[in-house]
Amino acid sequence: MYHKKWPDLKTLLSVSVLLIGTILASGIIGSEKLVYDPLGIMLGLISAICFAMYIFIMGKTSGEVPAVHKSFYMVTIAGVLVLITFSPESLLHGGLSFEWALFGFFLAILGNIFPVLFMAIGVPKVGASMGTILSSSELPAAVFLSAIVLHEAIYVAQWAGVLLILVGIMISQWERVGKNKMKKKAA
Amino acid sequence: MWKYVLLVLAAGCSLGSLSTITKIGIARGFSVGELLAGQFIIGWLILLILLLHSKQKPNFKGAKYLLVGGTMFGCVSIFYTLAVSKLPAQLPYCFCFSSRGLD
Repeated sequence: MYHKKWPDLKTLLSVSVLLIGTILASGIIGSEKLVYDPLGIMLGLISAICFAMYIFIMGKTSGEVPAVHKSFYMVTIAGVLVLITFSPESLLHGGLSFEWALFGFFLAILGNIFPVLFMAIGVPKVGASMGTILSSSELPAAVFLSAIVLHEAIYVAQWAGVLLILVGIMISQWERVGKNKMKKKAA
Repeated sequence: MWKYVLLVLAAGCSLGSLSTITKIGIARGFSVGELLAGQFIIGWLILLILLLHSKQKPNFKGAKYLLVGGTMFGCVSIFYTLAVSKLPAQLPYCFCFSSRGLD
């Protein structure tokens, strides 16, 4: 959209499949009653918009800046923002426990280190739109983990949604597979 | 190219696992602020160590993008964690889990 270029059929197809998959995987359809807090859904949507903008901006960053440096600067800014927003004063009066550090460590690895570093390396190479499509692997991962670790009930419709998301990601990569095969044949 | 595709896929997956850890954390009595503070303080320290170990020269090309990107990432984390805390349907399972397995 930004490039004022109509997306090609493959991207369009892949995004539509992803959208349907996301709606199904979220569990809105299929549950007997709507149990979700509308505020929670709103917050989730805002977060998703920010995430898309984040990936878009990642695609614009220079490839000359080392990924570790990019990640460090961004987490510094984001961290200042987070600490200003929540001012977790409870930490100052004895909230610092071993358990807190343990949770912080896992959240840091999976929330700050892996995603920020991998995106900083990957998104400038694959492009912002492909980055957005690929990072929709988030939802299948979340559904799998909540099913396995938290033992949350996952509806059939949600599993279908997960499957659709994976299909959507594969469609987006289809041409690339073809190209790779052609290259191999040519070589 | 495949390496980069897999990296972005992996980034998505690790973000997806955040909601599960956050839910367990909330079930264990932590507030959203405490969890996020832990995530960012420890995350920042790990990146600082990585930065000091990397021999690459600092380069501030496109710093404005990093500024906006960092702000966006902060917003993602704040809204995402708040959203996870506000969607209560899954919480009872967390309590089951924490009373059964973690202690």
